[in-house]
Amino acid sequence: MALDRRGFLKFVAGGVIGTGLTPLPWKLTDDISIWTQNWPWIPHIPDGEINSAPALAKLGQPEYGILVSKVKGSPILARGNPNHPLSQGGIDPLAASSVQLLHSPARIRQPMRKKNGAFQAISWEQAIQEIAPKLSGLKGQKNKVACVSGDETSSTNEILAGLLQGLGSEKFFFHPGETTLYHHIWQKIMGGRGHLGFDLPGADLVLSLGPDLLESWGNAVSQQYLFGQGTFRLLYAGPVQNNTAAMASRWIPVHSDALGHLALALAYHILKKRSPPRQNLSGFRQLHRYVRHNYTPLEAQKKTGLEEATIQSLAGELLQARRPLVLPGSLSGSCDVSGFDLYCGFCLNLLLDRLNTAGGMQCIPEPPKVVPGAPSWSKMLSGDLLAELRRIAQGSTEAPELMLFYESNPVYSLPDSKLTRKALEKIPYKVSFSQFMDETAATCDLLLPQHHFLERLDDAFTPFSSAAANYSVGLPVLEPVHSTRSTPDLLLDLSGKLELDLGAESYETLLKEKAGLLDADWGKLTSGGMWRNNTVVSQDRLELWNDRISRMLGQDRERPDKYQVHMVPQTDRRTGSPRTAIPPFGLKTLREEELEQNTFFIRLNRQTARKNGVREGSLVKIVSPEGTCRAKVNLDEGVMTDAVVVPLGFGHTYWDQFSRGKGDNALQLFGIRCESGSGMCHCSTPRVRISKIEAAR
Amino acid sequence: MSESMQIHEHFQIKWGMVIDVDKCTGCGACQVACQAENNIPPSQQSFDRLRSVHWLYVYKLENGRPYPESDIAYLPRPCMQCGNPSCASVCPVIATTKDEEGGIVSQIYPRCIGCRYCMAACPYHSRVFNWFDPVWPKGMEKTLTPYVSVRPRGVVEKCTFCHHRFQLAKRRARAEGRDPHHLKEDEYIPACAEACPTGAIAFGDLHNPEHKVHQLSRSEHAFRILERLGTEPQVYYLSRRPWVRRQGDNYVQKDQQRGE
Amino acid sequence: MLDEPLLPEGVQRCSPARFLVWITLLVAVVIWGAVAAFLIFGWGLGVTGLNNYFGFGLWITFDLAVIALGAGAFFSGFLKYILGIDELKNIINLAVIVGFLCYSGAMMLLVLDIGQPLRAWFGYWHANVHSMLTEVIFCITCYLIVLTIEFIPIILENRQIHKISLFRNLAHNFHIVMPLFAAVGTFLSFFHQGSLGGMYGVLFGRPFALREGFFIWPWTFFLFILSAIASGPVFTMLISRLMESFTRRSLVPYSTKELLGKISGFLLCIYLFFKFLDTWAWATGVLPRSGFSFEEMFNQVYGQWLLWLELGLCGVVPAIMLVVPTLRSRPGLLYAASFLTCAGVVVNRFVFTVQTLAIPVMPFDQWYTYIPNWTEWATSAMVVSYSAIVVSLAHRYLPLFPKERQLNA
Repeated sequence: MALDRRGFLKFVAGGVIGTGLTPLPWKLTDDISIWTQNWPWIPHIPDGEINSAPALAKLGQPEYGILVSKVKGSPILARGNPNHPLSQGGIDPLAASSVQLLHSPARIRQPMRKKNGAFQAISWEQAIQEIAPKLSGLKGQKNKVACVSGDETSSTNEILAGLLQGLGSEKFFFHPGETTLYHHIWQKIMGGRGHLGFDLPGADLVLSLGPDLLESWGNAVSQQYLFGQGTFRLLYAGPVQNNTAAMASRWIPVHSDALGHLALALAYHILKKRSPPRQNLSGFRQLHRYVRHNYTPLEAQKKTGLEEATIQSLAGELLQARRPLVLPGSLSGSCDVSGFDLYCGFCLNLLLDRLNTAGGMQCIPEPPKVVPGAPSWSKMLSGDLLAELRRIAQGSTEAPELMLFYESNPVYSLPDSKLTRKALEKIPYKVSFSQFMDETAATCDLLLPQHHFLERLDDAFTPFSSAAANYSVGLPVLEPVHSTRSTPDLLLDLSGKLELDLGAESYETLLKEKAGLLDADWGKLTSGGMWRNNTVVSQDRLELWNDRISRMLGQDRERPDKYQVHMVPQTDRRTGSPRTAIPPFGLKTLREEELEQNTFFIRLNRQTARKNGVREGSLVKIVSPEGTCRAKVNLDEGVMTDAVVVPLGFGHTYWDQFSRGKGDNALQLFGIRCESGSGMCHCSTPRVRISKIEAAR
Repeated sequence: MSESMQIHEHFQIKWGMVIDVDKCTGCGACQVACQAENNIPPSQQSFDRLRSVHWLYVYKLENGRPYPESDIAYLPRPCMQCGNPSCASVCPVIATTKDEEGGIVSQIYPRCIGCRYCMAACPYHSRVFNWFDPVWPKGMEKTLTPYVSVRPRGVVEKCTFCHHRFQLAKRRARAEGRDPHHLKEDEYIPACAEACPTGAIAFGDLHNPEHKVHQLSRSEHAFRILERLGTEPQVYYLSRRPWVRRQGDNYVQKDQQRGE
Repeated sequence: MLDEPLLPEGVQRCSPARFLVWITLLVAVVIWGAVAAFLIFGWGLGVTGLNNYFGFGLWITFDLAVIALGAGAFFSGFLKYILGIDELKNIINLAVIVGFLCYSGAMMLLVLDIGQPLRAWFGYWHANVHSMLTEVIFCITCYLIVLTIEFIPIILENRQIHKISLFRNLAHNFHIVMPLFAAVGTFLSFFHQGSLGGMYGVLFGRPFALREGFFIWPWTFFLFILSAIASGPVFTMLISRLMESFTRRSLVPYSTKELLGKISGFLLCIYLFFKFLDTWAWATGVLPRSGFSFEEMFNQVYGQWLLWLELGLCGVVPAIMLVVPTLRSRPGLLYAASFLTCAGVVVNRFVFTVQTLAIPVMPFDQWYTYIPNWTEWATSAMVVSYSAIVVSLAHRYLPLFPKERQLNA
């Protein structure tokens, strides 16, 4: 073929121009730009009108109203509710993950029964057929059925406790926490009436003796709001510069076992400078004598490790403030506080005349009872689960035949997990109502999954730390995602089968009745509002001194020599709550110095590190008398010398990929300590030993 | 810096943030709210600044003093929406611009070719790359919001001050017959500012004297990060602590003023 | 020999079997790289060692280095066709091929490097005239076309192809218009070498890279051009030396090599003069203004040794060796100096790419170290291997070196 140069060039040029004139390249490039935006494996976003519905965040303390945005009925976002007084528009990172938790891979999708060690899905009919005869067989036998509830505010507790009562059992327990501990000290030891609340909005000076009130104590969201508004001056005493201490006007470093002593050391100065409180307090003279004798500046310095001037200036601040408030409590917002510390804190408030007054401790009345057979609220709070588990494990109490777990995960979130496991193993039949496959559910024989709180009707009566009695109701915002059932309604159904009268047809009528008794507007409650009543209970038999108190004050703490470092537990809502694990979005907010791959970090200062032969990033073993954890070291000068911060919320063994195997569960380091005098069992923050793990092969 | 590097756009509105560092408890609500609002996928790993897709990161600052003189602060870092963005001018395909009234630096995902030049240009590390395709656990994709499209792998993304909320606020104002360029205080705020329980994040028009950020940004305690580089950030920080303010920029020995 | 008719006339080549083994080895490396590329396209850039801090890494360093070293093509073309230095005809063919390989290899890595390769053409369609990268995209692609056009007549010189009149005519005509392409290439290349430097100089958020400049061009714009033309010629010469040692045949007269060394040496001196000036101005101007001290630009990993390596051992030392005639007349010293020159440019491109990004700019940020992973090494090796294959084939089947017969006679 003869093709000359000109011909060739013509052919090439013609080809190029010709192709350019056809739609081919243009269509192709256009298509490419469309394709690259619409790959089929990339999820599409929904389209439709966005509306929002009020809901109630029920993930454990704190509980408050939220707003849920929905598209075509499907929830997409959880936000704070500016109209709910417990939220005021704020939200914590766990509640902000509410909507994602609906679709957590850990959700239990239908009832399940354990057969040959493995769970098998069953229908609700089968589930009821399984549980009803078991309960009916135990009916009338004393204390054969027990129950643990981790939801301190829901009326479901009344149904649970009422059902137990009907079956002949008084073994209703709350998952131990500040609510139960404060109750124990206030009512049983000090003879107080009502339930303690703290009027932070009314205070002008807040001295926190331990509680991380901007992160984990009480209603942190509401406290954060108040802090942001600058309504009070914040002082923090504790072993670590946590978020509260960092924000506070002053951080007074005190080891956690000296916080009670600090309260009494301050009481010394207050008693010296101030006339006795107006309220006639029985035992005032004895306490006065005890403090004057045992907390002289020299003694105080020895007991608290603080300079005299520091204590004096702190006392000065308390005396100068118009409405000071002292908050004793747990460092991690759970049960790691002794009766001694609580008592000392309460006393300080009483000596400052801060009871039932604006900005002080408030005595909130008992909530009304709607389930006729149920015990009173105070009675329900007085069960001591830790003591019971200890007795069961030791064999001094007969284990119940059947145990119900509602919104509680004791296998994971109780101290001394070996003891807990041992006790639970003795119980032949266990039932969990958990929405999620948690560590406790995994040990159960029957799973009757409750709706996620956004799928159910539920209420909250006066969450812990509230300044006054309050009541909120949350309506479901969507149809259940899985085949779950409302536990209270299920229990009411079951009670019918067991021929027990719990006084209500459905949970809804029960809650309406409760609202009626409170004189609260149901319409307002269900549209995101809150009922509130400022009535306080006056005290007539309050005791600052009695036998139990003197024994509690007199006791010495055992200090095993080989454990030198004070352990400081810390809770962070980004890693969930005792009821939930790390939420999907929470995991990503954990910084590199908090969790690296699957190893979590403990924090200690350089001096402590040197003393223990570890360095930044060292892989270490933390050993307590109860257990061992593996972690890496993060040097943090905001931790007292000889103290180590161990974060909680890690080390789940069930749940989902966002929490399983992430770090170790520090709770296994904690022990259970039953205090003489108060008789109260609580989680003890032990001393630990830190040792470097030789480069693992 | 040569003249041509600067993009001189003068806007009537300048959306800005003033973050009170002394009020930030580092709780992380803003980060979660941001992820949920903007369809940022969850991750099975903790935060990894080298790989995580994130728009808002909360830095932990330390004063570097030994115990007991130590002090910490938390510093949330969104996109600075620089008045003179180092990223926009370098993008070869105009996938990121600062050309809309309000001064928000846009990021156009369908346009981005993923060259990452903008990431090299941004000293704040506000920009992240999608190293893999995003994955939601089965069912969780139902919680995707209609606000922001899901980004595939291979594109860069960053905080947009929840730009969609600006659009919604403008639309609402128009529907009510008001001037969409004169929004009221808090009529448009990003998800992080809305979620913040302490109210540490204030948001508004820096030019508008009726908005609180106007005053706050002029506070003697206000500072911006890396102001000396000339990026003109529209995010201000507040702290009454000199050591925090000093960490906002770099200083050499002979500098007279050292951020205090 | 089996492929005897395809070989250029009058030269000796190794046996086809031996050649096949060599090519097979190279193909194996290409396959290794292809596997990595497949993973990258399949799963995303997450499989590489790149990250949010080091958005640019080995690939960009490699691209910038080979583009600088490939400058031998345009610069030799410029010297031969525009300035008429005829001596360079002995190496010009190789220079063109090396240039073509450098640019096409860089393009391959760029396609891997961008997150959305299907959108690569957006650079033209949605071009941002303010971006130095836009200039780079335009110039590199255009120049690659120019290099392809320059490469074609070399292919047409093959003994069998040359027999076909159409191709013979085509080759002839190509040769006639070559000065034009050399000029176009020079223009394009000049600009994108500069723009590559400009890319870093404009980063006012990164004090390590930031430079002042002239009009819209930061000083790095000019420094990158200078360093490229200083290193390009000796790089081409080093390739020819490498080929000589592989084939055990003389291919290029030493006088040509020496000439290239001399050219590089003088250009390197000019470059270094400005580079030292620039470094001084940067350390005493840009840095303190941004609040940084010179020491803060370095850490244990990215230490000052890199700077002294680049400017001293790989800068001043080879410059002297190349400029002083008695030194460069010794082959060993000439090649060593050439190697150091090229290494200096690589270090320069590396620090601008990686160290720029490693330095914490926010006071509360920290240093990070970049370690490329195997996917990046494999794909880079694939490009090197691909280039070796093309050079091997070209050497075997094309008359690249006009003096080869004479030198080996």
